[in-house]
Amino acid sequence: MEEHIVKSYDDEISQLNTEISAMGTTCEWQLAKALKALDTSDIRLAEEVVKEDENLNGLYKDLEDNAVKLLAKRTPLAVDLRYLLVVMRTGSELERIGDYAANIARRVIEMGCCQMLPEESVSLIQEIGKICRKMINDVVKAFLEMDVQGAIEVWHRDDVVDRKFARLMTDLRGRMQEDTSVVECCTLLIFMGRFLERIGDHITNISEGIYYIETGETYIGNLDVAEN
Amino acid sequence: MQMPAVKQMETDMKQEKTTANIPKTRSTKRQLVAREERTTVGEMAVVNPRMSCRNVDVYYNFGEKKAINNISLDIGRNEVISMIGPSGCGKSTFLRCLNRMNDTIEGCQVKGEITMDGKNIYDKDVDVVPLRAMVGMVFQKPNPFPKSIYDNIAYGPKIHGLVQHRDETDELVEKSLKRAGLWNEVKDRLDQPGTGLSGGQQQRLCIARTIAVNPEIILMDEPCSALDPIATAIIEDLIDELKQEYTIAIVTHSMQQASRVSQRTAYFHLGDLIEIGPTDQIFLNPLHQLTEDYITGRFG
Repeated sequence: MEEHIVKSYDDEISQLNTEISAMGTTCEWQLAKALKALDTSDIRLAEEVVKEDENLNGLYKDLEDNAVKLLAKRTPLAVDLRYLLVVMRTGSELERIGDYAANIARRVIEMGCCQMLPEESVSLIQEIGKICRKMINDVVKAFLEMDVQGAIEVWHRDDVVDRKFARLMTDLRGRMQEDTSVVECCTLLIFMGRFLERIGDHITNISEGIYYIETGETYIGNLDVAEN
Repeated sequence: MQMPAVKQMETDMKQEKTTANIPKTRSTKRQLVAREERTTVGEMAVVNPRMSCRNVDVYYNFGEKKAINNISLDIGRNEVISMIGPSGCGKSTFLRCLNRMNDTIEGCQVKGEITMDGKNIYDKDVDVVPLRAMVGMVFQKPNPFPKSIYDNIAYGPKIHGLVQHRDETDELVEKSLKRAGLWNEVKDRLDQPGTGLSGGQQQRLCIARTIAVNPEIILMDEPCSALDPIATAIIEDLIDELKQEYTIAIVTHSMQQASRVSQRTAYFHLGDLIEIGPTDQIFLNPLHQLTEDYITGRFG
């Protein structure tokens, strides 16, 4: 993208990108810590994740303030307008992802009373979490580099998340039918899987935003699949 | 402090290749027409146009300088069309072709065809006086006659023979001032000089004066560039009203104004018509790189 005649305009956009980058890193790290807390049943770490969600909210607030200022000051058009609309939406998506990471941590805290967790299900959650973390990392990278193909690639990884979540549900439903004493703990695991599945959905929204900035169109992935 | 287990997870992730079925998309980036391409992009024709311009060239200094180059463009009925572009791009020159105002510039030549309801306005048998009444013009700087507010409006209809008696004239003055949204502000001082009004009021007086001779088309050459935001808003509101009855072509340097008032927008660059299309499309998803450069401030 060519530079603007007004240099400070580019500086302001660069600032917004820096803030998106910071939010992405924080989000991914929050999720990593929540998953680690699950792995090691570390309540203290889970509490830390819940507490630190405020940092992400603060970053989002700054991003939103700066984006509104830019909107008022520069009255952007065309690609700049699309960028600004998407940057605000992306901030909101990342903030929501942070909320889900905190929710996972909250469930870890509640799990303190669970004696035995089904290892396979926990490991499947870790697997989904790992994919989500990489998706966050990659979608933010695609945003900063305006890499549309990269964004689309991340978008389609959500199918993997959805499939694994469906498997998790089947697995946990079976366990609960077999042994009703595990219902409480398995429900907490279902919640966690659900939060990760939602994280995947929010990441696809970011991918769609990148596609919109560059093409001015809405990405309808299924249409492309059908056409191929 | 990064924990060893989390660190390990990160290493694993780097090595892991997450697979998914990635379809090939039709396009990953919007293809804009290249800067070097100078043929008009977009639909320049409309159904049942009020005015139709074909292959219009304008030269200044007796053919020495070509100001606009092979422009074809339709102007629809009851539409507001805005013309934007950097200074010197030919948008005002083009606007002035539409009521033969360029005839007043020595050494200016217009080639091509400009028709209004099928009749070429450059035909030898066309009288420019009634033409300029039919295609009225409002300029950048309000230019009321050094006469009373009343006479500013009454003068045109009188010389065009549109009114005979005082009653008729009174009625037309009131009607024109009302349409221009100025009546309530000036009805008690119609005998005072038009030049004593504020800038915004003077511009509305000029619009009222244009309307008074019953035009079909109103050309506006940066009508708000000398006005404050409130006066600008009043004029823009007036343009919205006027388009019910008239066709309006407006040249403006304000992209926001073009996006607010017009249904179609034309982007000019160095004498070429680069892009023409629905205003929403021009300002959200232009098709030509030069248009995008200009409206996003990436180009001087």
